[in-house]
Amino acid sequence: MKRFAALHRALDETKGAAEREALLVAYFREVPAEDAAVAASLLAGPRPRRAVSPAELRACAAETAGLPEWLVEESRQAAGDLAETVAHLLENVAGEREWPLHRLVAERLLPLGAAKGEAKRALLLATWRDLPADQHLLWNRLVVGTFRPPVKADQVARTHAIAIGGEMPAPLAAAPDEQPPPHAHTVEAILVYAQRGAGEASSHYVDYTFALWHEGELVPIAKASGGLPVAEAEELDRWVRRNAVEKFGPVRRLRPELVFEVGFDGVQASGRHKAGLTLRAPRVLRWLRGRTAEDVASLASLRELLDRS
Amino acid sequence: MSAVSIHASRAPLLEVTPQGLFCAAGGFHVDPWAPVARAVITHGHADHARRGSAVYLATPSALPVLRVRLGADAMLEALPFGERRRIGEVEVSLHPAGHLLGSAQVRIAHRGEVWVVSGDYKTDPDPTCEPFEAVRCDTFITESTFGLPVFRWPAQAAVFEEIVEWWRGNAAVGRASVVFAYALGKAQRLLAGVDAVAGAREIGPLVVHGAVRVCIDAYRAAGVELAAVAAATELSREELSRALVIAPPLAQGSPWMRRFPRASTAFVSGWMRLRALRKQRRVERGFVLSDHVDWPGLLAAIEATGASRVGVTHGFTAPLARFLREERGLEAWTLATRFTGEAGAEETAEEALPA
Repeated sequence: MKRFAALHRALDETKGAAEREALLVAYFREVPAEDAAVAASLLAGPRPRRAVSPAELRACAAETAGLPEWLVEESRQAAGDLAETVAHLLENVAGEREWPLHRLVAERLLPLGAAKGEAKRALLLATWRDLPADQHLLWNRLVVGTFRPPVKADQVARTHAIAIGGEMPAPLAAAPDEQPPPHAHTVEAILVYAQRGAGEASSHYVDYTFALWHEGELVPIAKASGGLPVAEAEELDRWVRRNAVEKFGPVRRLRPELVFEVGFDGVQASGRHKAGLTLRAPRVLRWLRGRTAEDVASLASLRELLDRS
Repeated sequence: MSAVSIHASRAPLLEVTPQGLFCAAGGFHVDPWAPVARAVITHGHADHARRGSAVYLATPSALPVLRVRLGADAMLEALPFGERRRIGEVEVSLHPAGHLLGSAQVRIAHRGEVWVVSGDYKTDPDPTCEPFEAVRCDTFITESTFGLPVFRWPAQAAVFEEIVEWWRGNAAVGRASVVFAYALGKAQRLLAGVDAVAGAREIGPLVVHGAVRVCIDAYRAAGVELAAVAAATELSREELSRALVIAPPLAQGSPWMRRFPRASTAFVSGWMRLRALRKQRRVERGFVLSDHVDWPGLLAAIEATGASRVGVTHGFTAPLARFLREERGLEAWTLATRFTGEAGAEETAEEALPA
């Protein structure tokens, strides 16, 4: 796990394809064959089934760190990544055990997916206590299913062949197939938060959070990025700067005045969200300039969709 | 955002007004956002020291920087650390905040009640400024720039060693090392910290951007000793290829950077703790070093004041206030910071952020 975590970090910081492939070849040559096989499966995908839900991970981390769960969630919102948040919060809950990657996967990751309740939490905690702090981020991503290989599958196959030869190892227990895309829906929702984007868009507010009314309160239902024509996006960016009422790091809470049409593929029940649901594949369709926040439907309209699906 | 509301038996000693935090009994503002008659200034960062007020009160070691920031005509008065001065009906004293040279917490006493405004502060040691001092009070107004438990700073000696190691590696392959850091405070602390690492001086010259140079001169004027630095124009191409260059974040992507064609770049900030923000800066390295207190430091500092009421401002105000209420049993609330309207507000609000 130590070398796999180091590889993961190095790949994350390296841009050129040739350099990345060199890192992969070196890794596959250095590590024992069983570890190379598991690493190749993880890197080439398909992703293993998530072993722990985000809610379980958050609850277990909160308890271990001695923090209220809402504060873990606030931290996640600031960091943008639950796995990283948990790694930071449990920095002092770490060990020095050197787990070979293939054994960590076989003896901890796969059993975690099958374990329930107290046994699951005990296994998670035991692994945090074993692994050095700089391996927690990768471990958390693996267990919660947010591990995104920083390389393409064909790069993995090619470098694996160069380093070791032979067939690519079989995938680990794979995630279930994606569902076919259902037909699209739209909802009119109120813009309540804006956040600056990543990369090119880092100086503009292009990530939006939309909300609907529920019992007199605005409850967020979706986050979406971009989608507006450039001129409108710029106008909105200026509006955000003038109408922020509160800031949390890069996020601005806004006066709830502007209404947008948001498209989505479906509604999913979610105990983690205040609304009790999330939109699948939300995207910004239009700025509805004539509408006011009072015109917008309540959350009940989306709940109906949920009941139907 | 909730306004200040303290359900105490008498009027609060400090209230948020359109110009900023105002002490009616003393007739002065603390770090006002707009011109006022009398301003008590915690430190010289642009979001705390604004031009245009009639009279400013600050610590003696803050004055050289404030002179640069507020202009040659500004009326500046010095109040040494710990000295009590009556202003209106209150007694005011300034106490080290450890944020940067001359940075102060403002203690205000009125009829047996004591309030302290922290300004920005850190509790970690910093050889370029006076060490933070916990001040007992009834009501503490604290900043919360890094008021979430994900913010926990690594040991700074290790960070300086990491920076020097990165510099050494770059110098070995003929690449300049350009570090982006706030010109006032962070740059001087960085300079002192790097210079203290064994063997650092042999790697190459220390170079600073003009904006950093101005603040170094102000520090020296206040009696702080700092390592010798050069301007980029004073050195040969070969010397620059081994240099550690300290520049303000604004220099990133500016024509000034053309002097260092193959430079490796880094950013030094508490925000570098988060991967998303490291990526956003588009530098090769992010080093975690902040002049603000981290989460454990905040909680320890708040506890050390003995305050039963805590106003939270500047940063992650809502989560910290809620944590203090629910987990610490304190009366805690969020204070409005400047948020809308007037020209310049946005640039001010942005300064504490990683953009």
